[in-house]
Amino acid sequence: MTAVHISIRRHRLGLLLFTTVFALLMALSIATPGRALAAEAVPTCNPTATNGCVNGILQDADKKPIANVTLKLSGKEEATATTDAEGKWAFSVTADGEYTVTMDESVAKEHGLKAATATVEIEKNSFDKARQVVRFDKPVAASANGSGSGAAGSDSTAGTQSGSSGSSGSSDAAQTTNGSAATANIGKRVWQQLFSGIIFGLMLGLMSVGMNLVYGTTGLSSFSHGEQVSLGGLMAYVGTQVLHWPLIPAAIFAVAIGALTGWIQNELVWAPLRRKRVGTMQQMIVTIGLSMALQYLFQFFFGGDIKGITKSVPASFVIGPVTTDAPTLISAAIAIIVIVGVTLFLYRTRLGRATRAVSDNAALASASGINVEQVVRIVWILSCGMAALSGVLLGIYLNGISWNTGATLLLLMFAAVTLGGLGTANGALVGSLIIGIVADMSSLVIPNDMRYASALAILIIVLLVRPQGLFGKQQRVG
Amino acid sequence: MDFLTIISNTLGELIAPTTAAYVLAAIGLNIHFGMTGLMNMGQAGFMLLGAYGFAITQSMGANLFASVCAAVALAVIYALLLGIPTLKLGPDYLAMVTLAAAEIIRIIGRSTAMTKITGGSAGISPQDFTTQFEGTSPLPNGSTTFLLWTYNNNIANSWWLRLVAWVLVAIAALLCWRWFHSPWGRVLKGIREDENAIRSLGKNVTTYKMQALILGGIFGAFGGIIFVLPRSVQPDSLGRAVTFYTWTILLLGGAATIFGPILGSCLLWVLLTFVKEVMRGAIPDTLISSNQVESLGWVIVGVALMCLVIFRPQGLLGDRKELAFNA
Repeated sequence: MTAVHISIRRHRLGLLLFTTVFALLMALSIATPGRALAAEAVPTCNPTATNGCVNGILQDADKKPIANVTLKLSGKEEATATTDAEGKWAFSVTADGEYTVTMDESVAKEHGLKAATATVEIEKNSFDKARQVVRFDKPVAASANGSGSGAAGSDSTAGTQSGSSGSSGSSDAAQTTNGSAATANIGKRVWQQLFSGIIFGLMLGLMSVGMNLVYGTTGLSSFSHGEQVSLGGLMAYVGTQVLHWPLIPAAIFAVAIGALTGWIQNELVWAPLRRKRVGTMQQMIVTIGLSMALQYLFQFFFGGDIKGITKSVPASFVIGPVTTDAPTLISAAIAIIVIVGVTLFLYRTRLGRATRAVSDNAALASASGINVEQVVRIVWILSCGMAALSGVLLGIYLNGISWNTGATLLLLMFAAVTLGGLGTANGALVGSLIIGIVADMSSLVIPNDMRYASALAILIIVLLVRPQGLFGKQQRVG
Repeated sequence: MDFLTIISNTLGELIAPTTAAYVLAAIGLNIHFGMTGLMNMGQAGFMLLGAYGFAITQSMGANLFASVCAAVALAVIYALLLGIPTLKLGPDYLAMVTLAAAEIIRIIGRSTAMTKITGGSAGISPQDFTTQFEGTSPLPNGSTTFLLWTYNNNIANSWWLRLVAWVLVAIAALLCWRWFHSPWGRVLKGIREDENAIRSLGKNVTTYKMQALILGGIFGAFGGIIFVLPRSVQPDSLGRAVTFYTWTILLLGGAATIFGPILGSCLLWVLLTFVKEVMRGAIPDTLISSNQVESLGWVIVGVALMCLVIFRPQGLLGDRKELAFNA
């Protein structure tokens, strides 16, 4: 007992040391504004709770449609569209705010239009602002309200917008290159995707190692782990943009808040439930409820748009075949250091050994004098702290974090954890790297917005072939 | 604050097609979870497949019956694909696989590469798939007022849709009642309580589980069709959140009961709408915007789900002894 206590204290010191190290490393980092990519050009657009529409029909002064004109959308999100044979065009956007649609000055002049740009304001949940029809026939940017035919009942779900925020900027940029250019530098793209996959995998690793520790020690698959990630990023946003702190204290603040929530929820919810011997399946549904409550609490306080943690643009440079920037490399370094630190903690310290013992067999560990509750408490704090840190790093790497960033990544965490083997800490890291690399590399062969599907397909295939995961012990599951 | 509007809006939810759609989905989930103890975390996947199967075949010009068959066929195939690898594994695995598979369907459905078939993230507009359904209505055109509510007879969010939806619910509840009390239903309950005991009696547990998964999935597909008929087919509106709502409904009403899903769905939507309407009316827009009220509604559902599972896992109608949670 006492020995465990002492080592816990030693460990707490270690945690403190860690945070300072991250802090120092992060001092070097400078990051970027929201280069949001969620907008897309679509043939027809119906506004819903999760997306708004900017659309219109391009006609010349004689009301004849103008085809094949490229229109650029800028503002909160960016995209380009081309008008079809009837002059129709549409953008589906996800963030509320002002959007500007621009076409080439010369095209506007040629067809006798009075303006080449127009600005509209989109508000998804407002009935008359969810769809904005853009007109170029007035000198001042004007907007008319659309019919909003697709704006279904307000009870339609406001959740689960996916794939919009959890992506790596570089891969998206690569995706837009056209056929001939793509084949020319296919080798370069492979390297670039591999690189961004590794970076993404490392961040995923930070999340899933913690999640797996919780699963190992308590048998609980926590659905609210994604929200812990969002929490970290949003707290860093509060630190830098609301309280105007420098990035390092903000990051430490975010990790501290994350760890604190881990401790609080263990004390308030999970420990009492374990004492009442509530089954893990029941606890899992409690985490689902918690995840919903937290996610929408974030939306309540922070709104639906993407929050940038830092506002400056980092200079990108080229290393070998890949283009990258300093914040990305520093984030990756921090992720590696933390993961190595956790591994050392698990295999070299007394408390780490106790943790693994609890993972193996909680009853036996308890019988041999390990304070299981104490170990579980530390695991919750550690896991939520790591999730918060990954949220901060992800926010810097992806240039922003939104209320549901973590939720979109939750399934990838599950996939990583299952792939590595439920309950094995290092397995989760390997699983995360594989998932990250597959997700980003797969966009070379399948459409970019389907790449998360490939990662989830891996999950299902693994369960078919080797349900215990890569590093799991061969045992009867089921 | 206009009380009459609040009350008519709130009670309107009681008979809304969406409420019925959730009842159907929850009845399906009840067969999975309440009867058999399967942790299906992807009921929205069945719903989305059903909706796609119906809407795509409709927009291609198939007749109504063929479209419904297509929706059911998709749900059956999906259940087989999910069930074969996972039904032999533990409950954690089924939960994760169903969740992931539902997400895969949604991601593929909303992908721009699929725009020609599924309409991408913009979805399929109602005029492409609801006309045939509206055409079958025997009701005269125009709109009818019944007690507090006025709806169009045939078009979009109509009386005709309400009628069909609730008749479907009644049929589903009747079938469930038959199944629950049949020898087949008793085997399922046995599997829920102790799989190995049933196996030792010489029953093929995996086959029974598969049958339950398929049947529940078919109800999910019907729920999906009813869900999209008053709106458009939007992959993002049938995401993970819908599954979680369905779980809340089932656990609120009571798993392993016939009327649990119906009570749960009506109660959840009526209460939620009431709370939201009152908040909209009572709290000035400058303090909490309409968007934020929407989020608060979700927070309430989340907290309600947590409290239900912790304090009253059997729900309102359930029997504590019949809990489907295996420790």
